[in-house]
Amino acid sequence: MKSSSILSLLQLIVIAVLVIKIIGLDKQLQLLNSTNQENLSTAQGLEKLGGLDNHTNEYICPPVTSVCNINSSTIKQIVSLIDEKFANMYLSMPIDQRSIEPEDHLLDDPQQTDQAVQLERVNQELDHFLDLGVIPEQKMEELLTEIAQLNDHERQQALRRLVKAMNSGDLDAHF
Amino acid sequence: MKVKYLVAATALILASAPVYAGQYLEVAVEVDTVAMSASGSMSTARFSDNEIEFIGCGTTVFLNPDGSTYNFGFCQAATTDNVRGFCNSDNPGIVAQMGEASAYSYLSFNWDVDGICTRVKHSTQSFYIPEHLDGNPGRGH
Repeated sequence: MKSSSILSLLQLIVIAVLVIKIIGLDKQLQLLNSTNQENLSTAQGLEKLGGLDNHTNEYICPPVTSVCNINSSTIKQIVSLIDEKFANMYLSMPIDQRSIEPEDHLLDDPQQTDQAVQLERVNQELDHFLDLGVIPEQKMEELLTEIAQLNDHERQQALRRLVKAMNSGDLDAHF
Repeated sequence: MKVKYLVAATALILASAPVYAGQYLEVAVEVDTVAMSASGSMSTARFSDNEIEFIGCGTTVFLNPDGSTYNFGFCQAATTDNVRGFCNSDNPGIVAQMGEASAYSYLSFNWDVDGICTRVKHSTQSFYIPEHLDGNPGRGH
């Protein structure tokens, strides 16, 4: 008899605690909603365009899209999802098409540094002659001598640029 | 009297221009920028009555400071209307062909959108050699 009474009492206590918790949660929810409403009604800019509320640090959406309540953790999740997507795309590329080293690493090799300088000089000269619209014969020889010192790929690029301009009439020149 | 006629006849024979035998062919320079092709006879271009027309090919070998070499070949042409076509190549076969053209060759070449020569033809024939090679050159017939 005593044990059953004790059990009943315990049940009652547990139920009471649960009820109190539920009431507390409900109040918090009401408070949250009222705060949002207050923010929406007091900040005119936020009402129309949406924006970051400085009090709650939450993104307030305009009434039309009021279903979106974006906070910083949501943004972080979105960013990490995007990072993951890019990482997967990169890993799915063939190895020979992946560009891992930034261009700055080229400067570590003196020969490649010279090549970069040479290419820059050639491009500047081409720009200069294109602006002039003409290449004197002597200058053409000098330009070709500099182009000859580039690596295959850069040499082809420079010659392509030069000959295209000559064929289009943008450059009055001949070999 | 007979001596006079004899002298006059001899003078006429000596003064008459020599007779050239054989065919002569003039081929003016043509450039088609759409088809990316050019052709023409070098002698026709050289002895034309304008200062614009030209056609030719050439090669240059560059010895770079690092000891590497670069073989550069080109062909170029311009019509009397100054329509121009240029191409270049470092392909050994094409460059070799460019170097084979002689002074009186007929040339024909094609190129692609990047200005790279895709075909080079030269033909050295007697009918491309002009009649007048000294003094005041003119078109031969």
